[in-house]
Amino acid sequence: MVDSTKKSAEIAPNRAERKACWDSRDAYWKCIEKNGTDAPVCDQLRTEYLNLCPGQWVKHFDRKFIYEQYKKKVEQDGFEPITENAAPKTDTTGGGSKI
Amino acid sequence: MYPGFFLRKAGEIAVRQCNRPNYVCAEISSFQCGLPSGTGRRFLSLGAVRKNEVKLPKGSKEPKMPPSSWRALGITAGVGAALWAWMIYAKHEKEEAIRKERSKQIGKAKIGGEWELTDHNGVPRTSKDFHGSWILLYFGFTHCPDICPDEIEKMLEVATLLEKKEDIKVQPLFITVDPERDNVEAVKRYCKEFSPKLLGLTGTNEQITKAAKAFRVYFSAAPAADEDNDYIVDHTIIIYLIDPEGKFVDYYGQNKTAVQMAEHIGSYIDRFKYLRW
Repeated sequence: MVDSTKKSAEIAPNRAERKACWDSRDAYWKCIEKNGTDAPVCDQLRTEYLNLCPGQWVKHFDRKFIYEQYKKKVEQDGFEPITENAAPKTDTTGGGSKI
Repeated sequence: MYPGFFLRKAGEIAVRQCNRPNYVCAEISSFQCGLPSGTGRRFLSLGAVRKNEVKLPKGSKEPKMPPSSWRALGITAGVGAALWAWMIYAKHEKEEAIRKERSKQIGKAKIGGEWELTDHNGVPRTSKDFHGSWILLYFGFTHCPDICPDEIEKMLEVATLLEKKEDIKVQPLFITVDPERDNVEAVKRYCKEFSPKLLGLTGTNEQITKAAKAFRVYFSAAPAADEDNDYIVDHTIIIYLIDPEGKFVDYYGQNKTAVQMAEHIGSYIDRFKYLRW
C-alpha cells in the first residue's frame, strides 16, 4: 500500500488517491457503525484507511464521523441538554487513538 | 412598439370599414382613450358603417343603432382597452424591474470586486479579463479532504447544465486559499484532473487575501500542522455567481444541488438578457 501521508505534505492526492482514501474510509465507517468504534474486526480496515488517507484528512474525517453520529442521535432521540445528562452517553471521543 | 402597431391595425380596420377619414380618427381616438364606451357620435358612425357594409336582417328595422353594432363596438373597445392596459402594465413592470435591479446592485456592491492573480498556465490575470462571460467562482485548496472536490464537481456540472439548457458558456474558476503549497504547477495539476474547462488561480499571500476579502471569504490554515507539515485550511464554502459585467449576482452554499443552481442561474441569465434588451 502506498503511504500517501508522507508525500501529501508536498503534493496533494490526485483523483485516484482521493477515491482510494474515501473508499477505505467508508469501508471503515461502515464497520464501526455496525460493530462499534472499538471492535477489533475493524482494526484491519482502520489500518488501511490510515495508509490511504493523509494524516490530516484522517483527523478531519474522524471529527466528521463523530459529528455525524451526534447529529443522528439528536435527530432520533431529540436534543438532551447536557445538564440533565450527567453521564455523557454520546461521548464516543473518549480521547483514545481511535475515534 | 406594440401601441403603434395596434393603432395602425385599428386604423386600417376603420378605413376598410367606412372609407371616411373622420371616422378613422374617431376610431383611433377611442382606442387611445382606452375607454370601453364612446360618445354617441362614434356609435352612430360605426353603426352607420356596419349598416352600409353588412346588411343585417335586423338592421333595417332599427333605424339608428342596431344592437349588433353596440356589441361590436363594445367588444372592440373592450379588447382595445385590455391590450392598452396590458401594454401599460408590461412597461411599468419592466421599469420597476430595472429600478429594483439598480437598487439591488447598490446593496450588493459590498460583495465582489477586482483581483489580480496568476492562472494555472502562469498567465497573470485580473477580474477584468473575465468581463463578458458569466463566472462561477469557488475558493478552496488542493489538499482539501472532501468538500472542495465535491463543490468543484458540482460547479462544473452547473456549467454543463447551463451550456446545454441556456446555450451560455459559464466560466468556472477556482481560487486557492493555500498560497503556501498551491503554486501554479500544483493548481494546474489539480484543476486539469477535474475538467479542461476549470481555470485555477493562485498568487501571493497578499493577492489571495485581497481576492478572498473582496468576496468575504474567510480562510485560515489550521494551526495543528503535523510532522510532515501537512495541514488543512479552514475556509468558507460558497460558490459565487458573477455576471458578464463583473458584478456579484448570488452565492450558493453546500445545500444547493447542481440542478437547483442551474435553474436559479438560468433565471438570472434570462433576466440579464431581458433587462439589457
